[in-house]
Amino acid sequence: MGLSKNSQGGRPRPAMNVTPLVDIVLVLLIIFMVVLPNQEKGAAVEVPTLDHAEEDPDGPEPFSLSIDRNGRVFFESTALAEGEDARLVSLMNEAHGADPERKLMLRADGRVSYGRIRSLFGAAQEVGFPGVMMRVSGNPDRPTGGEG
Amino acid sequence: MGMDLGTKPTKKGRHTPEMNVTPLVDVVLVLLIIFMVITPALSKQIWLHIPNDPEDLPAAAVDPNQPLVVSVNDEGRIRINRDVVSDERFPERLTRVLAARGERKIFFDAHEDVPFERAAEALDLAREGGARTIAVMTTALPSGG
Repeated sequence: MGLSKNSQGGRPRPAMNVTPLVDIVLVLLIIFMVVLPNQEKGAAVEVPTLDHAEEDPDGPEPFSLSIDRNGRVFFESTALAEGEDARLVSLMNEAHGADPERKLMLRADGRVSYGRIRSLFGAAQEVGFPGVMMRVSGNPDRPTGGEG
Repeated sequence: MGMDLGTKPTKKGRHTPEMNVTPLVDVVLVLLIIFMVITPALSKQIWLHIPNDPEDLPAAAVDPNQPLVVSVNDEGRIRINRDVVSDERFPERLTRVLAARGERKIFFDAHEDVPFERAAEALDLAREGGARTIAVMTTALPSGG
């Protein structure tokens, strides 16, 4: 109230210049929106949503093996045609040999039949991966993960 | 040059018109925070073991003394070894079986034609039931049942 009287008396009300703030925040927002869906390599997949999944463990970024709803398989960014399981094994062998510490991350679309997924498990077994991290999306309504 | 026009009236007491950006900033900040909070929550994982010796597995599925096998049959129903269990009762049932065996390891398989989503649901319920080590089979179970 006092302030408004002052300004009518001719002195301008002090106002913070928020334009740079808005600029920065908008840019951050756009970065988040653009980066979020493209974070992971390979096919565009809709992974299943689960309640009892775990956080990612620390360590080097895992190799990405993905399979989209049409059954197309990608290892890292390389697309493989159906029936190219031998090529997949040799690609994975090469990658695993070069860096045995890195794990394997499976990103599979929820609509793929389990038979295809099992053949990928078979390929990973042939290469000698001790297991796979199955990528799922956490249920935002139930943020408590598994306690293991 | 054009700016001079604006400054002169100000000195005489009139303000230059300013847009009120506060609500805009509020909304944008809230959006930013929502994105930042949701990002880590979205990507989670379940670790699945791949046993090295595939020959062990079919035996494990038939011998009752061998590790527990959870599977999803062609109708999408969950089975503990050979018994079909409803989704609601499965976690509790699995907890009891695991407690009786004194271990938290299960083997998992699903029928070829089951969508992966359904298999993942079964894995989720198995984790709810207390399974901590989940090993997936790389060959199909010997009999569909």
